[in-house]
Amino acid sequence: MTQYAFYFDSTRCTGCRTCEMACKDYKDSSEGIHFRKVYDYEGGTCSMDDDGQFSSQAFVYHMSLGCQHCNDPACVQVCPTGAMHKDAETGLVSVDEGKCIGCGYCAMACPYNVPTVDRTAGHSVKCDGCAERVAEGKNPICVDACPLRALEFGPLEDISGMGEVADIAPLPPAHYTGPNLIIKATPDAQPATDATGIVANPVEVM
Amino acid sequence: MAAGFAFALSEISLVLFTTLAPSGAVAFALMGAPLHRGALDAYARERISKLLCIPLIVTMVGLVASATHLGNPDNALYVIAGIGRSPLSTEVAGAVVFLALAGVFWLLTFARRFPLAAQRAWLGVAQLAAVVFVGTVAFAYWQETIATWHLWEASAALCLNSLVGGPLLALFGLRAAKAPVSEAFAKGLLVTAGVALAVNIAVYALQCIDLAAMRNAMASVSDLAPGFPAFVAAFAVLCAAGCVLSARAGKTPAVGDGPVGRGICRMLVMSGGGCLMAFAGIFLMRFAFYATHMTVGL
Repeated sequence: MTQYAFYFDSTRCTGCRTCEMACKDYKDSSEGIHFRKVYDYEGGTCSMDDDGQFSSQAFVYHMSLGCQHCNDPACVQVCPTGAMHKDAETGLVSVDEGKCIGCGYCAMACPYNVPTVDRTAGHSVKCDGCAERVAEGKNPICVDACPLRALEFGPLEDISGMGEVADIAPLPPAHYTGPNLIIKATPDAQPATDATGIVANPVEVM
Repeated sequence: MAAGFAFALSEISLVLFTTLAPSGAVAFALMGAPLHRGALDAYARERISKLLCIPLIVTMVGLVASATHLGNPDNALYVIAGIGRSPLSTEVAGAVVFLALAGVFWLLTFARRFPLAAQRAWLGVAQLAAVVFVGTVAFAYWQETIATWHLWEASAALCLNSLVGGPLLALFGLRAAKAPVSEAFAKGLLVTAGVALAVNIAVYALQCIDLAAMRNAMASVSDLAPGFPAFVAAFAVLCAAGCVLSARAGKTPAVGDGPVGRGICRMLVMSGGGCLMAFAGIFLMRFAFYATHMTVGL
């Protein structure tokens, strides 16, 4: 099996949402359903010295997230029907609509907020890594759309040297599911266990 | 509205399922217990057997409610594929096995020939299936990535919920059947509910402490489910009132006490009211449980 993975350069991302819009347009997803989301992570403080000068420990950075196509996906673990599955050839995780009952357990269990139940369609939906484009030798649409070239996609062995396995806030510690997301972290990046920051755009991403 | 409450509202059918089904299953097991006694006369046996439909209906209402939240029930048979792997599949299997055994037992009680030994054996297996079913519901959401549900208190609380609501419902069923159960057995059911309630409140208090410190990058538990301790207080008051109401309903009438009179009606209303109050309390805590949903990440 060739495990495919996303690469995200956190030092380049400006949070422009082009990846998100391109995905939404390409997948023609319904209102309220996004397969790729951009999280704004913010935190820290500003303080004033005795001589009146301000210094800042504040941080802000963006995380563009689709599915991490994890090694041990929580969504696959809990799926009662086996509809949520990991492709044996590519390692991409997707939903078999012919098996899904739309129970939503995948959405509850995923710590990356990826699967969603499309109530109109009656089944779960999620980022499948644009599997049909990958099969044609193309990149997922979000990767090609990124104007900053902050996203890459390819076999894990080709990408893993470009950064570290995703283990920064606001993501969960990597040991839970083994995400196949390689990140080049911005200097502002906080560890996954960070409790000082918060996602500043919860309404947009939930 | 707090985000957690909105989530719980979206899963209200599961709130109802986890309120009714475990208590219904425990009530079935407890209400069937007198049928193992040798001294029970045939008429009383028949009355109890027939009215086992009460806990069965309660369980079925819960199950039907849970099915309504599915997006595509047509694919439900694929659930078999996940038994043992997915806790949800295991829960569904537990429910199917229990309802099949209990339902067929109830149907067979209408048969002209259903040997007593076979009745007892079948009922014993159905009662065991009820206990297993409650266990599968308690661990249906035992998933490491859901931080707020991967707590021993969450699973223990569901089992204890069923030990509060189950005995009260069983007592209501036995009273409706005018079953000649001993006062000791009736008191035993009330004491079981009372002790389970006391332990349940203590478990919820410990859960409050654990939940208070939990947060992820999106929210804290206190943002998701503000007033969780108030939910526990309301649960305690409602369930305690349910136990008291059931206890004060009076002595269970025996077969042959004559037609249903005003006293028996009053007793059934009080006993049924006690069940409803306990279910209302459990419903609140199940709602609070879903409201606390929070993963280890986003």
